[in-house]
Amino acid sequence: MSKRRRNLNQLYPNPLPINVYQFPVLFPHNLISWISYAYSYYRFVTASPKLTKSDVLIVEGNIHQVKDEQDQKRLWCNGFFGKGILSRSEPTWHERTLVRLGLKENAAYNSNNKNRNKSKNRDKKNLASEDITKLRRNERNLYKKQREKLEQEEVQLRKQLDLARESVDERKVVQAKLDKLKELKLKVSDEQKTLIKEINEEIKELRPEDKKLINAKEHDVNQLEYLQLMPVETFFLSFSLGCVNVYEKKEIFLKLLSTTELFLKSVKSLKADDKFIMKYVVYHNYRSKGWCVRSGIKFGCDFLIYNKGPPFSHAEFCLIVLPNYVDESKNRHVSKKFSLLSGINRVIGGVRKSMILVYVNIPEDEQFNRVINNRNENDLIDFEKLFKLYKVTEIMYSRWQPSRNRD
Amino acid sequence: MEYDSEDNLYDNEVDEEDVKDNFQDWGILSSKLSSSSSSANAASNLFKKGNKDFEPDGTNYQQKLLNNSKHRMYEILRNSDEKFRGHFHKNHLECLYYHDINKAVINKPKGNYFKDIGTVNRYNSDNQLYLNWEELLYLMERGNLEVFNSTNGVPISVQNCYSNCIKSNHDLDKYLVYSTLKRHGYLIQRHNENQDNSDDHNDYTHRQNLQNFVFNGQDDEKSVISTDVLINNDNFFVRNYWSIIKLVNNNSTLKLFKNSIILYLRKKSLLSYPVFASTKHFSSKHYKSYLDIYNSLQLIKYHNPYKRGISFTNYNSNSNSNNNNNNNKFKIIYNIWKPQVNFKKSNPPKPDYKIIILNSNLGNFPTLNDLINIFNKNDTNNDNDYDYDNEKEKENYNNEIANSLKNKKDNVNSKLNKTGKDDKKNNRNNKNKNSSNSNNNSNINNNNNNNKTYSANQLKQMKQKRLMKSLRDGYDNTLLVAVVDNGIISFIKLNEGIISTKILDMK
Repeated sequence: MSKRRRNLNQLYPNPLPINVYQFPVLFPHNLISWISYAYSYYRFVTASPKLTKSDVLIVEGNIHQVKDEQDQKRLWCNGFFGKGILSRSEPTWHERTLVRLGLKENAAYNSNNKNRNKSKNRDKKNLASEDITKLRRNERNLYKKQREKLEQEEVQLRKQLDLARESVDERKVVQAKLDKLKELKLKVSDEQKTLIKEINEEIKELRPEDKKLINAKEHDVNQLEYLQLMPVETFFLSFSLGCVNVYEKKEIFLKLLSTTELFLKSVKSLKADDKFIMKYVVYHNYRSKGWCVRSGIKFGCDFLIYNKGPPFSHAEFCLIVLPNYVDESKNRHVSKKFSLLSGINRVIGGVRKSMILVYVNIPEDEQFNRVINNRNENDLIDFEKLFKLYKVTEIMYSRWQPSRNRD
Repeated sequence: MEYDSEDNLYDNEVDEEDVKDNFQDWGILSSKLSSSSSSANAASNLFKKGNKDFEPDGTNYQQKLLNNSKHRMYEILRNSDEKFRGHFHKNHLECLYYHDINKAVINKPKGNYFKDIGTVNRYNSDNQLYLNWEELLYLMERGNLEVFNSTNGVPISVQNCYSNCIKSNHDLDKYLVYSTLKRHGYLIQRHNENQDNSDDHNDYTHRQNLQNFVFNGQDDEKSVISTDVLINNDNFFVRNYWSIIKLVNNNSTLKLFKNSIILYLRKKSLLSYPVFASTKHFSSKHYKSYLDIYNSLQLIKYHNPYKRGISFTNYNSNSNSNNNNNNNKFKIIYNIWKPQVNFKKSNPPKPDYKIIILNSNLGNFPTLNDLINIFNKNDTNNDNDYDYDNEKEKENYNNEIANSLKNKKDNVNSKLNKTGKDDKKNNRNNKNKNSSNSNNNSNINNNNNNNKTYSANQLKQMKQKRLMKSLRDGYDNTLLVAVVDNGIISFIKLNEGIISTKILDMK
C-alpha cells in the first residue's frame, strides 16, 4: 500500500501545473552548502520561474481541446485537469492502441497499474484500467448467470419436494444446495482465468479499421485523442494560474484570447447569476483550498472534489451549486423539490460520498454591472473585484435514520 | 425498558432499504412468548429467516413457508391480548383532559414514561404533571393512559381524543414525527425558543450591532478587505502607510513615476505581477511551497460558522424583513436526545438534534436564509471552541512529532551500534531506557522495537485522516428536517460545511 502511494506521488508530484522552487539542503557545518543555498536564494528572488504554457483550442460548440501530447500529460499529471475523450479519464487511448496492436510491449502508463494489481492478481498486470473494468464486468455477468441458473434449479428441487414429502429427502435437498453454492464459487474463479486469456488473445487480432490508424512510416499510431477541458478549468488555468494560451479558430487563423475574451465567450449571458460564473466561483474556491475539482455529472451533481486526485483516492464530497439571491421571494421560487434532492442524495450515498449544497450569494445587478462595465485601459474586466462580490456557503445534506443513530 | 424494545414490533413502517434489519419476524416474538408463558404452543418451533422469495413459483413448498409465518403472526396477535395489547393493570394511568388549553393533567404519574414526558405544575405541590397533547396521544395510543373529560368526568374515546388534539395538518405531521421518534426510543421535548436561547440570541444581536457599526463607514471596495486589516488600521504605522499610498495615488506625476518604476522592476523580473490582475504572476514569482501558492490564490469569500458575528451581516439584513411571514414554518419544533440513563427533564443536557417539520406538499427545500437563520439562532457553541480545538490538535500533533523524532534518533543509534559487535548489549540498554521512560514514550518505543515507528509520512496521513473526518462531520450544530409526505416521514440531517475554512496542505 505504501509502496503504491509512493509510486503515485512520483507520478503525480504536483497538485497544480506550477513548479515549486526547490532549495538545496543546507548543512550548517558545510560551507559549500551555504554558498549554494545563498546562490539559490538569490535566484529565488531575482530570476523568473520557468512556466511551460499549454495550448488550449476552443472549437465550435465551446469544446476546449488540448491536442499536444506533452500538454495533455502536463495538465493531467499536475492537478488532473480535463478528460481524454477516448478514455475513461486519463488520456490513454494512444498507449492502449499501441499495446493492442502489439507495437509496444509494456506501456509506460501501465507502470502504476502493474503495481496496483501485483498483490491482487498477477495475470492482470499488463492491462489498462479500462480493460480491468471490462474484466470485472464480465465476471459480474457470469456470476449473475450462475446465480440465475442456481435459482432455477432450486425451484425444480422444490417441485420435486412437492412430489415426495419425506423428511429424509428434504435434508438431501439442503445438502445439494450447499454443494451447488460451493461449486459456483469454484466455477467463477475458474472462469476468471480463462477470461484473462481471452482478452490477451483478443489483442492479437486486427480490426479492419486499424489500417487507417497505423502510421507505417513512423512505426506509430495516429493520435486521435485530445484532452477536453471544462470551461471553468480553462478559465482557472488561464485567469488564476496563467499557464495556458487559449486560442480560437477564426477561419484559417488562430486567435489568442485574453482572459476577458475567454470569459465573455464562456458566459451565456452577462448576468450576475450566470451558471458559468457561479460554477467558476465554486471551482476557484475549492481549487484554492487545495482540492482537486472534477465534473460530478456521473453522480448527478456539479462537482466532485478529491483530496489529491482520482488515482489517489475516491472523491470525498459531491457539490451541488445553487444560487442565493438577495431577493428572498426569488429564492423560494428556485428552491429545489425535496424529492429531487433526496434522489440525488441516495445516489451519492450509494457511492459513499457526502453531498454538499454550495450556495453562491449572487450580488445585486447594480453592483455586478458596475464591475463589468468599469473596464481598464485595455478593455479588460477586473475579475478580482468581480469574484469578490460572490460568496459561498456550504450546507451538508445527508439522510438520517432514526433506527441507526440511537447510540 | 423491556416494553420499549417490544414496542418496535408494532411499528408497521418498513423502510424499503432496511428490509433486512427491520423485517418483522414473528418467530422472534413467538419465541419470547413461549419462554415467558405456556400459552403459545403453536409458535414454539422456531424458524430462521431464510432467503427472500421474490415471486410465487407455484410450489407447495413456498406456499407452506408463507402459511407458516402467517399462522405464526395470527397466533401471536390472538394470544397476546394481555401481554401486548390493551392496558396494563400495573401501569394503568388516568388523566383529565382540558379542552381550552389542549392539555391534560395527570395526578399520580408512575412508570418509566415520564423521563421526558410532561411538565411539572409549579404552583401545585401535589404530584401533578401537565401533558402536552402529543404526549397525551402517545401514551394513550400505546395503551398506558385513560383520558377523562375535565368538565364532566366522562371517559373520552380514542377517536375523540385524536380529533380533539390534532387541530391542523401540521399538528398531524408533528404527531407522526413525535410518535415515530418516541417509538425508536429517543427522548423528545418541545423546543422552547424563548427560554433556551434568549441569552444566546441577545449575545448574537449584540454582536450583530457591533458588526454593523464596523462595516457601516466603509464603501464597497474596502469592505472586501479582510477584517484583519480593518482591525490593524488602528496601528500607527499601518495608518501612515495607507496615507502615503493615498498621496501617491492622488498625485498624477507621482503615480506615473511609480508606475514606470514598477514596470521597470517587472521587466527586470525583480518584482512580480499581481496574482489576479494579469496572467503573468506565476511566471514572475517563485514559490517555496504549494501552501503559499494556495494562499495567494484565495479570492472567494466563504461562510465560516466559526466566526458567526463577523460573516453574517448579509444574511440577517435580508431575512429580517422578508422572513417574518415564514417564521412559523421554519421553526424548531422538538429537541431530541439519544436514549440515555441520566436524563433529567428539569435540567436537560444540550440536545443531540433539533428538528423542524415540513410537509413536502406545501413547499420546497428551505432557502439558505431560512437555514442560516435557524443555524444562527441555535448555535450553542462558543466562539472560542474552534481555537481551543485547533490548539489541542496542534499539541497532539507536536507530541507525535516529538515522539517520532525521538524514535528516529533511537533508530539511528541502534543502527550505528549494530555495526559494532555488541548489539545485544545495546538492545538491553534500549530496553532499560524504555522502562524508565514515561508510559506514552515507552509504548511508542516498544513499537519501535517492532519496527512500527511513525514515520513523517504516517504522521501526515494520521493528521490527514483526522482532518477528513472533521470535514465530513461538518460544523457541530446539527439540524434535522423531517419531511412528511402523506404520512411517510423522511429525515434529513443538515450541517454547515467547514471545507472552505481549511486549506489542504499536501506537501
